Amino acid sequence: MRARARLVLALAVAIAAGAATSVAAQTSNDLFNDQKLQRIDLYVYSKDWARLKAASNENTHYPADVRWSGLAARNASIRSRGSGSRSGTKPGLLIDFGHYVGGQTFVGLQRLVLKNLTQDPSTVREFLAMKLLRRMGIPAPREAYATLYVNNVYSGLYGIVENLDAVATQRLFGDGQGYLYEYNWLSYYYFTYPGADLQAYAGMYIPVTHEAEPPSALYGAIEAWTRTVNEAADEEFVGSVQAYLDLIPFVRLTAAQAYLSELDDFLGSWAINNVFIYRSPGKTVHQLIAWDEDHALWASDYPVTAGHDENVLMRRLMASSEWKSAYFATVLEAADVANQVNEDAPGQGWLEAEAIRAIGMVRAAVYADPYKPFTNDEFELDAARVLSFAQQRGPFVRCEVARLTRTVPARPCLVPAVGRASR
Amino acid sequence: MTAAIWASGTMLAGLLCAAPTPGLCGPVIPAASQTATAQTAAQQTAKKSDKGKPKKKNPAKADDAQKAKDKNGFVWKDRPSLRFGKNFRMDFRLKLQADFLSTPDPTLVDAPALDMDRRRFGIKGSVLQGLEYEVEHDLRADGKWRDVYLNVAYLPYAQAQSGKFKIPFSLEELTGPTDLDFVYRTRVVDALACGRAVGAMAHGRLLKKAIHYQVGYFRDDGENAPGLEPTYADEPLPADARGPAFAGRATVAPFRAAGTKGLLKTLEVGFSAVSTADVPEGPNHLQGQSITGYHFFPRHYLASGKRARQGFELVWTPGSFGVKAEYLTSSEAREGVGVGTPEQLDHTLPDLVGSGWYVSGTWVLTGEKKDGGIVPRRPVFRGGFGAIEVGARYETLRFRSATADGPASTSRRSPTVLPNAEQAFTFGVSWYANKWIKVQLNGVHEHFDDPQRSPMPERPSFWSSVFRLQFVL
Repeated sequence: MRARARLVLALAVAIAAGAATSVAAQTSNDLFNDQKLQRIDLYVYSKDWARLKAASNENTHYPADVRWSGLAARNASIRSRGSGSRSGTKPGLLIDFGHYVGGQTFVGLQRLVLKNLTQDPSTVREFLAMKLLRRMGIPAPREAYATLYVNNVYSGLYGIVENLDAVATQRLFGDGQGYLYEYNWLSYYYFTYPGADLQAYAGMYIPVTHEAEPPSALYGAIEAWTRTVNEAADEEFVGSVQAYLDLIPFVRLTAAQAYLSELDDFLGSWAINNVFIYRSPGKTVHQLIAWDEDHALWASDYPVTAGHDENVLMRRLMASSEWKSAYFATVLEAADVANQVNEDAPGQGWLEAEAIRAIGMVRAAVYADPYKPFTNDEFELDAARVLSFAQQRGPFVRCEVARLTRTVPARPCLVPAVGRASR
Repeated sequence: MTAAIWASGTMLAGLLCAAPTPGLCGPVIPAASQTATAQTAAQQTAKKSDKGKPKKKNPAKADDAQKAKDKNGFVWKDRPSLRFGKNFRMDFRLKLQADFLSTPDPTLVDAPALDMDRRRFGIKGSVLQGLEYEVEHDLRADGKWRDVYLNVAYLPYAQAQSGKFKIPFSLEELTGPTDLDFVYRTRVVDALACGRAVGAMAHGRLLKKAIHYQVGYFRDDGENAPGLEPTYADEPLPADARGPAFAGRATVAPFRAAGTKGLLKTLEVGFSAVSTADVPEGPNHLQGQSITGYHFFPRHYLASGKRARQGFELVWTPGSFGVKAEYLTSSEAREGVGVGTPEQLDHTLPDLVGSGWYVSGTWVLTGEKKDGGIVPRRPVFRGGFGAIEVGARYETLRFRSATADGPASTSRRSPTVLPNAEQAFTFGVSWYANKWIKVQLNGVHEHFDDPQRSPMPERPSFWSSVFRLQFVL
């Protein structure tokens, strides 16, 4: 009898230890595992939650406990976030694990974005765009999906987005000590030179790290970069600008975004927007990080050189035949990656297969989402558009690049009919 | 206003009377008689006695004293007084204190270096031999009423007091500001004691004053607690103040009760408790404050519900020595202000606890007795130097959660609050020039557990000094 009791006790301890190990072993990669629909629970004082929603245009922090997959972060903070996506019905949220507890992280993360997916009825545009960028080795945040429960009540489907901060730059660049800025859209800005006054840059480039440093440390390199882009002589342009911008990643990002038909990025329809800029400590060279791609996969026939003429940096860089070739080569690379043959579904390219999988994964959660600002029919309609894009974009882009690089006669490229496109 | 002008005149006359100028001030009133008339049974604070004084046995002087006692109208009895036989007495009181606080960083002190914040005028006396009263008000434009009460004191063992007065909690809090051994009250008493409130109290002394009890009901739990604030700044203040509060205090002098004579006779121990029915939700908890006024544990965390306080006290005044010690604790509920759990929405958090203690020792170098208050045997202006007392005190005050639940956090809904504590040493010397003038010099060494929440960030320990000049009628 005693032996049996000891055995039961040993089993219980082993099970408990195993459970503890599995919980403790989870990392941020598990949280951003996009092969499954995650579940995140928030516990928020009920009146705080009501106030957050009522004043969603404010950045007031509220205390919350966060639970995911058996792990809990106590005393985290949540606040409303977003620009055009701000919503009092289905608020986008920024979770800050260390706001109230100095140094607290959750699976190694300081902050986490819960994107409310209100600007994309398909809910998959940004997810697919970021996944393509990462697949091409371009700096972009990790993303996954989660059903969000607030105080045990289902509050909708959210995108889990890796917050861009020192932890993210450590992962992306192996360096978490540098200067990170979020570009802040104030007006239509095409990288013209605002002048030598550093305050002109302070409003546009919001420091995410080193916030307390003086303007000279924060904006001196950005001013020099901008001045060089605008004032360098044509023959010295590339060489001069390379001192301030890592051109290869820049061209790869803009080319991939062109393939993705992202309307609202560095070369977007509303001028520069949705980009983070990173500079290693002690250096003057900047790199761009993609952000907020929910206007991606917009139109199959979206021009691959959209925004080039307006943006001073891009216009002058594309004047270099070497960099122009690199740009179009990357656009074609994006087409190749997006249409890579899927072994599991031979009839589908990689992007199409991912779109089908993602839409299928989130469909039930979208249907059940009581706070989404669109109907289930609108979701299905937009999801179909995304699938069409995945099928049609490759042929169009290849044709367009050939036309622009004059390898074929300069005639308009047409969007192929769905189902008959050659990838 | 008329009374104030009159008081100023009589105050000046009284000061002159302090000097040995025969014929200027009328008949001299024996000190023993002064004590008997000035003392009230309602408040044990500011108790003066002349036990240490040599008895005057001259029959002629005793006769003069009797005449003075029977005199009607204005008289000088340590202070200006209006008297009509035994049925009416009105003493005019004035309290003035000027403090000079010096800290390592002058910017720590909001007030000017010379702080004359405590300026009070009042009247105190009795009617019909058993109705005692006191009225006191600040002499400032923004001043407020202090003590305003009536005490029915026909029976020493069963008295009833009503009005605004100090809630019976904490020995040091109940000691008047002009009778403190050191310039500042302890941090723990400043933080956890109640102060004044409007209410009613039954009290009395039993067994030859060996036992003293006080039981009261008050509108709230006193002025020392921070004013109420709502949880959200844009919401109106709670409609009702915290309260009501119930308070009780009992002290016993066991050796006096047993009839023991000797040094232990003055040993007295006591217990007091206050319970508040409800504190509205908001950042309304008690807070820790340094002597400079900096809040090392500021109001921040949300409290809601009952606030309870307990105190234990000990005082012993053998001869020229004095020993005092207190332990105070507060417990403040945080009902339903948590973020919630999978099992419960808006859950209740562990209580927020404040606790601390102090022990102090004093020695009157010039030999006067400590019990009942120091009265210089050889006052200044009467050929003497006054009385000198030295003392030392150690104190500590800490705020924390009753139980730890998760990481300590600055979230105002955190189960585990970010604790902080202060420890302080005070060394002091007091010079009692005469009955009215006292000068104190204290050196205070403060230490804060959390360097980030010290008055000087990254500098958790430092010395300050304070000099006080006091005049009391």
